[in-house]
Amino acid sequence: MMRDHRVRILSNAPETLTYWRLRVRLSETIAIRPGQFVMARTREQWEPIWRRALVIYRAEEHAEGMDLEFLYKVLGRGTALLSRQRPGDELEMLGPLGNGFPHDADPDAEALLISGGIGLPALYLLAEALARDGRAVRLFHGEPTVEPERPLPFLDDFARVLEPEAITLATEDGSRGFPGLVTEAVEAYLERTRPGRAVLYACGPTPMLRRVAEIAAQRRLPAYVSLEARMACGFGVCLGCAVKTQFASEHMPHYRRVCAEGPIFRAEEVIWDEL
Amino acid sequence: MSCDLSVEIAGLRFKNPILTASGTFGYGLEFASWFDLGRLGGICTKGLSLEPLEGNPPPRIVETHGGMLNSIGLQNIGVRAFVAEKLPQLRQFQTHIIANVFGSCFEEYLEVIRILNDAEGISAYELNISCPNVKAGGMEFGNDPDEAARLTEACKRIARRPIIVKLSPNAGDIVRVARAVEEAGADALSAINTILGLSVDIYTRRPRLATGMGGLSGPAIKPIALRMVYQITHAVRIPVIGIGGIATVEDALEFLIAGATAVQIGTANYYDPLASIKIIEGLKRFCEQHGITTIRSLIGSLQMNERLA
Repeated sequence: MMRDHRVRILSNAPETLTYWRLRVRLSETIAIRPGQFVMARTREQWEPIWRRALVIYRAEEHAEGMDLEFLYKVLGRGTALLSRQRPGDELEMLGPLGNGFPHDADPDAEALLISGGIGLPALYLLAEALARDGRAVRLFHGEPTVEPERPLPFLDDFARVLEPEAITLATEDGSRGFPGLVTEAVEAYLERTRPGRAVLYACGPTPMLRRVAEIAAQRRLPAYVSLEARMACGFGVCLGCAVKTQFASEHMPHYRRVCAEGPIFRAEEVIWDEL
Repeated sequence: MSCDLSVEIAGLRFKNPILTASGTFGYGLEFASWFDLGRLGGICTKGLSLEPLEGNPPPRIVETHGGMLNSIGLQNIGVRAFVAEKLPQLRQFQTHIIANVFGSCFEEYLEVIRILNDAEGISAYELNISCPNVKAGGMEFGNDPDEAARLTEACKRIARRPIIVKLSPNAGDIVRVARAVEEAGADALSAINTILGLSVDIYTRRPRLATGMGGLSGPAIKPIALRMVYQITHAVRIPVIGIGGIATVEDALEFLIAGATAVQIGTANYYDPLASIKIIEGLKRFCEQHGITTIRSLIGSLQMNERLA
């Protein structure tokens, strides 16, 4: 159940030039679906006024409760403030929120996980759940560029639950892995292997998600995308995060809330021109 | 010694002066998993229109220093769905349900009120004549004292419950509008709605909201709201419910001292769903610590420097 959890920071440090890893301890265990998020703020925070949405990257139960991990990029005032919090400091985390990925969409299909940039953390728990079910899982992750020789620790996390050869890194400048957009890497894979059944799960920038939706439509594959939107509350009341979708409900034929009905939507439901 | 937190507005007794503001509290039920809604003085519902409204295209909100701009566009399920699907559950809670009402024209306000008149479990109507984000939000009524008075009078004539008129800070002279609607029969006033604002993306050189401008809320607007509530309470005899950037018990106390009979908590509900409950608890503590036996003794107790008043 959704609650405002007071959590203690175990560690909070930069992992690469752009990604920070935050690890916190809850004094209880909570049920989390892959792709769900929390709304986080520091204690007694007045500025910035909104909490920040953080997708739950990893979760680990233990005798004292549960540790949660988050990956984030320092992009603005909220994440800058978060990056200044030290081990021992407390955070307030409202959650878990949102619908989460359906990981039993098609049990016999290959699962293709597709992420761009900071979309990656939304996919770890899904990869773990699918692998636990014995499903065929591949991860395609795209970055604009990756420093040569620098480790990418978060891809090592995925390598512990997926076969190393099931992970494809794509860089737009060709500095490492597949040279080009991550969606081009996915297309090349689909072209090469022509899997009869596959389900696409994606999180990343909107142009990437839109391309994933097109690829899925062309090849008649189901696809689930995790959308992002500005959120004041994260639990369904501010209506700030509404996105236009195909038929939503009798009262509200179009708009759905990313925080409540989402953040995961079927790709064909999203009206991409109106995002 | 426990403090009496109750206040009276338009013949209604509120167990405490803390209400939640329209548009920030959904239809109330969204918060029922957080706390017993019966602990609140009252709940102002999301603005209700005759037909469902889809609202404005995104992006609809943007964070600013000490606040936020919104241009939701009065998205709501419509008055009939509210009565059929939300009210039966909502009225189970021991608190006042205040239905926030708006229309795109005179007749629509009246029709919404007629439908609500037949529903059980509503204590009062709050007329939204002040949404800055949609034409249908009644802004043309809110800006013009004569129009505001005409609407108030017409609503008052058919309403079976007290009418609270929610005033806009974007009116040329909010005090004139306040006086006009009081004269027209309003039972109480609430002030202020959001302040029209703008935020610009310097890279695209476009507004950060799809509709261009939006309503500013949050702690940033509190001093303006407080000043307006002070001015209004000195110009009218009917009670005024203070709204505008209230985030702490100290904020709520400032409004009461400045003259508000009660307050509404708005934007704070977003980042802390328990904000209103924390403020109620804070009021009790403050009264106990300062030997205040009734919260009513604070209302309008501001000692303004006379030369500056």
